[in-house]
Amino acid sequence: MNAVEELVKRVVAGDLAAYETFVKRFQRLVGHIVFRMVDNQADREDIAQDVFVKIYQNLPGFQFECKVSTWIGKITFNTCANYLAKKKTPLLGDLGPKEATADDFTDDRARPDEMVEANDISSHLRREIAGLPVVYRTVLTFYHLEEMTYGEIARIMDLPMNTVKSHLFRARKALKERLMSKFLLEDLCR
Amino acid sequence: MPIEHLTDDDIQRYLDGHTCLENDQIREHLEICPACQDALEMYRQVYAGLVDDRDLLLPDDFARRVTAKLAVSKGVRWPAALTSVAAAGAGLVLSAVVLYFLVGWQPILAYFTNLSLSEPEFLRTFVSAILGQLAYLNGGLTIVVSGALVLFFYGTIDRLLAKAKIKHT
Repeated sequence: MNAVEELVKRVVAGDLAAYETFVKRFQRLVGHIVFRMVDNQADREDIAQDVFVKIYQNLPGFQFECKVSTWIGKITFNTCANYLAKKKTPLLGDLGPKEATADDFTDDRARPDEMVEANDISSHLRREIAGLPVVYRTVLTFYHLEEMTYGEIARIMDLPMNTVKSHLFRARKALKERLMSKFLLEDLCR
Repeated sequence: MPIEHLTDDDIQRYLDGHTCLENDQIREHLEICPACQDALEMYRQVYAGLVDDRDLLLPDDFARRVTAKLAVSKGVRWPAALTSVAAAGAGLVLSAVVLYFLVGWQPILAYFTNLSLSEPEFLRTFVSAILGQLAYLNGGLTIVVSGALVLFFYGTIDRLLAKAKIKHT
């Protein structure tokens, strides 16, 4: 029995201190998903708490038929998707007006002196990620931050594996083009 | 075979570590093609940004707050039951006060004094007594409105207590 299984066993037996350890272990995963999917800052922590309450309630029925992280990812994704459905926020909207255009290359490209301001590459990228459709943001999070496989992501999001792949490639291409429209390459290499 | 330019998909697969093209072919092309070098560098920036999670973290005391919430909800059964009993008691007292002001104690005492629980026609007696009370009131509307008010009062207290409990957690 590995450490997580041992922890789950203690939680199911009613050990709340063990659940605190469990939450600490998986709060990074839940935080990543909730914060990427939900824009409203005021609701994020409440949703994350709801997720962990659901996990606690459903843990006795968990049979380890998949990885614990996949199971938690699915509960978190579904909870956020339900929240967004109530708010009538589409999971897969269009890529929006920020996609790179020819004008962006001439008008919007930052000058080197502007680069030292708060508008640095990483904060610009964070803003651009936040501007992507929810599904793209979520796939990027599972793949890059959680290092999940296409199969795991497909299982969590209930999507075909090819769709996951396609979302991932399109999202990264959109980000690359938006970055190119904003910054000169020599700025990136400094 | 020399490749013309790498596609976006080629570069992404290359960075992901599962390319369809031979890695040597890609490396050779990247050495001689500035356009693809630029694209690769842009993608490197994107990949680096995607593992930056500084805005995506829950507070340090989050786990403690979750378990505190669970502890409250686990131990809430007794307090919740007591709260309900207290609220129901308050409702009964209020009902008694309303009845006292509407009909006085005499008819109520008279009803309970004359009532014999051993009688098989207890239910009939009870219903006729209630009907009698309504007749005494010269119209049942007053007591129905009073009952609705008592229920509303009870419901409001219950909601307020439930909200207070949620806020506390």
